Amino acid sequence: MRHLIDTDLFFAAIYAGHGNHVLARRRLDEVKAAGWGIAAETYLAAVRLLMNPVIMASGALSAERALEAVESELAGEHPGRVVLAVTRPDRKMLARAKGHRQIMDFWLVQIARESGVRLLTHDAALRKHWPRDTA
Amino acid sequence: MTLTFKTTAAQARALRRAARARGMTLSEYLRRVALGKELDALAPAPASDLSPGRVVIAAAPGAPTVDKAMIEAALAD
Repeated sequence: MRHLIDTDLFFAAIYAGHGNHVLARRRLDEVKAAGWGIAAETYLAAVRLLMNPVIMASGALSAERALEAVESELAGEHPGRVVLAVTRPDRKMLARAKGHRQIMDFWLVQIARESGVRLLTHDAALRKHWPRDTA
Repeated sequence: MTLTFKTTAAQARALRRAARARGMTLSEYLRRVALGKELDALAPAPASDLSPGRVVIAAAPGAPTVDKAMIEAALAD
């Protein structure tokens, strides 16, 4: 596995209503062959978002359909892994967060780091903060 | 301004169903149909594709364009 996909990019890749859908779909397709995965947190976030009527409007999916969508994306010619964190949150890493919105992003960076991979993200600020751990 | 008109029960159900299918309120749907505006908004939603390894879930008509901030807000819910 070479890349862990962050939540925003993963959801953008599978949902056409995301503003970055085309770019995210292309990026995810490009990296799959080298090995990829998502954190369990990203898996659950994608399912939740696909079920959320605020995000999906009248297109909100049932739990069964949302799970089918995420599992289907993880399948195919280059299957993706679902990665579980093996250590507890790193206090030193997370203490560097400037606001609550960065906590989960930094947690995904930690998971990528302990998995020996980079977090694939569109977030330029995150890439700037963790240049060796992101792509 | 409020306009009122009569329908049968079946017509009322059909109109509400049509508005819901497009993610619109009944008033918005009727205004668009009556005024002939934005007909592309009345087109059926494109089908989703759940091909293994290349899923694309279509956006419903009227669904907001999603960005990272919306995702964070939704997940904080």
